[in-house]
Amino acid sequence: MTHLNNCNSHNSCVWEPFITKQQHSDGVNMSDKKQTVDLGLLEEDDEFEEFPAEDWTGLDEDEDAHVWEDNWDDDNVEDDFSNQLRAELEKHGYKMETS
Amino acid sequence: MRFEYALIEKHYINLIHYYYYYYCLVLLLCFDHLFLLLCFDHLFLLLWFDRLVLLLWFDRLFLLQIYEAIDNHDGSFCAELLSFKHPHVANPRLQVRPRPPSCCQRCEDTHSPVFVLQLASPEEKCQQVLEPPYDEMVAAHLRCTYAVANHDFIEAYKFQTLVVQYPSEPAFQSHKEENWALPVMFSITLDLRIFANNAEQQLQKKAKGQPGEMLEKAAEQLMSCFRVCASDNRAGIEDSKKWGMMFLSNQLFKIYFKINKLHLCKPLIRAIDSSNLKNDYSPAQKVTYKYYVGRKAMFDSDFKPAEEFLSFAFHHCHRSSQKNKRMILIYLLPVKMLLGHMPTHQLLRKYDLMQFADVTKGVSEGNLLLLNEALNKHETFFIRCGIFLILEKLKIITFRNLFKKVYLLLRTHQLPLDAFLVSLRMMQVEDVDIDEVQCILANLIYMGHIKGYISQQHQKLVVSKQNPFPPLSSVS
Repeated sequence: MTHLNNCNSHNSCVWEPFITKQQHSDGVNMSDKKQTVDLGLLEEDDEFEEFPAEDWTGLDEDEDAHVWEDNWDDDNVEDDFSNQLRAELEKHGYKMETS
Repeated sequence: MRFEYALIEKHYINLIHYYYYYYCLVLLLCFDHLFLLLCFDHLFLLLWFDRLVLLLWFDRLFLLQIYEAIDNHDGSFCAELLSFKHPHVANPRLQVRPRPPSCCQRCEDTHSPVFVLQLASPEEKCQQVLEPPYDEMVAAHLRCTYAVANHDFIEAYKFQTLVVQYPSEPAFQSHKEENWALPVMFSITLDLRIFANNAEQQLQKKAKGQPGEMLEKAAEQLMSCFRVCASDNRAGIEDSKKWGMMFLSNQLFKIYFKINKLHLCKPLIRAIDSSNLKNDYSPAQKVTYKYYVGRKAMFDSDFKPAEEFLSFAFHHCHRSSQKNKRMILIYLLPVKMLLGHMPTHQLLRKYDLMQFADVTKGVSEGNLLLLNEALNKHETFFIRCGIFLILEKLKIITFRNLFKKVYLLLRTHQLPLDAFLVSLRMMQVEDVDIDEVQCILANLIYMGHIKGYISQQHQKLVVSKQNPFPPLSSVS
């Protein structure tokens, strides 16, 4: 009996492979359940991974709105770097009109 | 006839199960608690019986499942049964050479091994249940499971090539008006590529073979599968094998990028472009496709198309695939910056890409010194990603931004060349002189970043009164 109990805990290799059609149609989650099969089949770290699911909708996508800025190219010269440049040019004798 | 026999066998096993359960139930109901103990014993016996069934008939039941899947044209289930993501591959009872059950390897108990199953010849077993070419295909798959369990990916690759020959065979093509086996093809080609990858690594460790050899061979096989799909002109849209084109292209892209033969991507891109299905593939396939096509465009310096493809991939990537989103962003960032769009700090932080923070700041300010420092600091990272050279192109943009600041500060349309020299020296650009300044300015004018001309006589840059520094996005 004790032997049976011990073996039951390692049972996964015996019972698991019989995924019946029922479970299969339950969806993608099945692959999350037990990672007993780690045969080093994972892709390399710097490769684009295969997606676990084939299909998804817009709801599964990130919004990521307003991530790109164009206003850096506005004609603004009040930032630190511009002031540094202004000082340097003045040092070399360039007069800058301030208005 | 033999298939019916196999099915009867399966039902027979099920029947024994059910009768035994009912027997125990009857015992329970008819006799009182004195016989309860007897029942428990029976139930445990039943559990053993189950294990016995699985042990002795596991291989057969596995093959029966495949047979049924094929018979029902259930491509998805069949694909799972032949996939290395599926747990069955870990089962030593399916593997070719006999091994003790894995529970006994892990247990510290010294109880005797329960049963050892001899799978003499997988070909014979498969032939009993399956018709050609499936029998050979599944037999090769079974031999492959043993190789994989032993981490021998060179052998595994060898057997998987036998499995993948099937889609190119007449039997698959003879599914003339059908495409139910496409999921199977996806599954086995994916495993082929992964084995080829791992086999390459193992070969390199042994210092054998040419680098890229196994992957090239795998690519050839995948190409023949691709041709089978692309040339399917007969069936209607729903049953067409053309639905397999994008998945296979993606697998091929992965190989070509790895072995650095990007030019081989062209015929695939052309084939998909000319197909009327190109917008109807699954999101996963489309995102992967656009990622690789975007990277190819970037490599070819077609930055506008690259932006379009990579942006699509980035926005439509599933939110839980953060690693993929990050990878897309790594290539989207340089492209966007070259086109004049800078990322926000939040974006860089969210995807753990702070290596780009000083790059962005340097470029947008015109701070060449900061840009050079950032490129030096993270050189290894950028080289590994393959974007170092592209980021070098940002230097031109930075010159443009720096010189634009000089223009904005001096507030004149006739700018002394010397002023630019001052700014470059401030940026610690080495060995720079007036000639160098003229060279850079000439380039910027030629590229359309500055509207103006150099007056040699007055040693000045004379710029247009209107929009002398056009927005970056309008300059191609």
